Amino acid sequence: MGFPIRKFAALLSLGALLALQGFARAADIRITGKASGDKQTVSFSRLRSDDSPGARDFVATLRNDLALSGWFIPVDAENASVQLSGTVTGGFGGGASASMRTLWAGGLRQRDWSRASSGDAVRDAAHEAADAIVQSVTGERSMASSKIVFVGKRGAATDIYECDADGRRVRQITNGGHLCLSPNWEPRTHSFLYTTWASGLPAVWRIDLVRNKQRKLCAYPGMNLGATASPADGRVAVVLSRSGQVDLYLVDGASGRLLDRLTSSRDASESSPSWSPDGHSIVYVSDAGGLPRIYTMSVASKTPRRLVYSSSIRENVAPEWGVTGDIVFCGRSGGRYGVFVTDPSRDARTASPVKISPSDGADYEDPSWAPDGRHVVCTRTQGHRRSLVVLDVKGDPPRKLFDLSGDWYLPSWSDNLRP
Amino acid sequence: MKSKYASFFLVAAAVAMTAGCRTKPPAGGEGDLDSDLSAGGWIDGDGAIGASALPGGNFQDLPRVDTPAGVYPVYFAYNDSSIPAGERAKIAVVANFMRDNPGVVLVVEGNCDERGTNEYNMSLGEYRAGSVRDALAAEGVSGQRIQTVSYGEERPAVFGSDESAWSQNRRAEFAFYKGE
Repeated sequence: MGFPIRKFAALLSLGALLALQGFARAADIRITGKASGDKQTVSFSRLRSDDSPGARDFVATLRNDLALSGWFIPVDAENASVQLSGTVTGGFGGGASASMRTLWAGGLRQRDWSRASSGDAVRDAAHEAADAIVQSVTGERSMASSKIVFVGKRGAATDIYECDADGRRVRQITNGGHLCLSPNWEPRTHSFLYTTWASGLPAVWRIDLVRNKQRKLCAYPGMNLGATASPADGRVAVVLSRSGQVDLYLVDGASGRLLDRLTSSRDASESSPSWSPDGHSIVYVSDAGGLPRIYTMSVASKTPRRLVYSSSIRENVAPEWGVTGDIVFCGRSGGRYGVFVTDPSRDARTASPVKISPSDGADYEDPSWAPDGRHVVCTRTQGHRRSLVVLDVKGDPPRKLFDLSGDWYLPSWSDNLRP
Repeated sequence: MKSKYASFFLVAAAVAMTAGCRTKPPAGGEGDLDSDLSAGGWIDGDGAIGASALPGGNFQDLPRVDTPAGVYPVYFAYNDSSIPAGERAKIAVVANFMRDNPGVVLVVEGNCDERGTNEYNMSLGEYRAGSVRDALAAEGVSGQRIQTVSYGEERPAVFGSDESAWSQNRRAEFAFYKGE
């Protein structure tokens, strides 16, 4: 008899699921300070699991994901706002089969979820279950099935790495040890763009993690950096210096062919493009006014609009446009870099960006939004060491993504991905 | 002149890999990734966006030529991509060598100290290399024989977090190759 993968009734409650779609619409995350008042307890007391490695891994991952979502406090007591029930049983090779029911709103609402997974996919299944619970119960976006890519420097070698949103399964992607920077996920795909100096000169490459392939996108004379793909079409915004000036360009995402030049500031440089959720605009950095500052621009009109006027944040760099419409960026204030969030739909002259990183003597940089629009991963630098930290715009304490020796920086957070 | 205003960030010294780490490359590592460059190659722009001002190709694929005696890195001031007056004699030495060796091409490598954001330092390194290229062109060396590359803060000559280290890292270096 082979591996007993039982196809549980995955569509057990399709009707109920469809009914919940309206309920599951994500609301914009707004910065409210302390998150504790928004949390619900979720009881694991009726979720029975055997003592197999697969079942233990599934339950531990699910429990951790729900806590990391920021919306739940997992408990073992029966008295909780949300009840999980069902069974999780281990399978051959570390696999697991889960059949669960989530009850909330005083038992008036429920969602069933089941999955059988092999050993390698147990954590994927648990992430998927966590996403389903977050979306169903809270109506908010989730992040458990997303990935983070980043640059890692261990010894003299620099490479691209990835990990799950919970910081587990850290995996080295490239193995060349060449200088590489600016990994940026492409929307809704298992691929990302990055710049490598593998040939000696910088070039933008695309790595497809499903096919385990990479392919050069463009290598124009001079700089090729910060490539980021539009969520709306196949265009890629990228920083080039082919003219002798460092400017923003658009290239075709398939061929790398030049499509347009977005900026042409003399004696200034532009960098760090990031697309708006609708793909019509970009946010970027320019030092045309002297200090590095953040601007937004419609790629059709190419008219820049300054985003941050706060006199207390002298430099503004590394912006990223999130799914809620808010922009996260790195600002220099009080001698340190911190992470700030601002709403570009407000009057830039009166808007006050909100700092979401702690003031603990460290620098926080390179922020990237989670797909839930609530969490942000960034680089924390202190004592000559760079590590990755997850911040919460609603005020949960910062979380170190993982604890491995090395220098970790320039993270980019993906959409939720299905295996 | 380019300027940077940040003052943080340390490129950590080499960090020893520890046993028991959970990372591992995908099966076969990068060798499993398709290295087919046929769709990439060296792509130049179209006329509508303007021809590149910089030479294409990759001089680093050519045979390396030993750095001539008397050629030294050009050092820069903090926040600055203009060539200090005291460094200009170094440009003249390189220009003389390039004039005397018309078959040689050159890559100017721009570098920064650790202070400043990563991407910003990439731009600053690019502008430093560009300043050296422009100065060589002013000395009569064809721009088509000069390629530039920025390593930003990623390739420090000296590890350290004081002015003695920073001053040696704010530099442009010269790499010579045998042209075709």
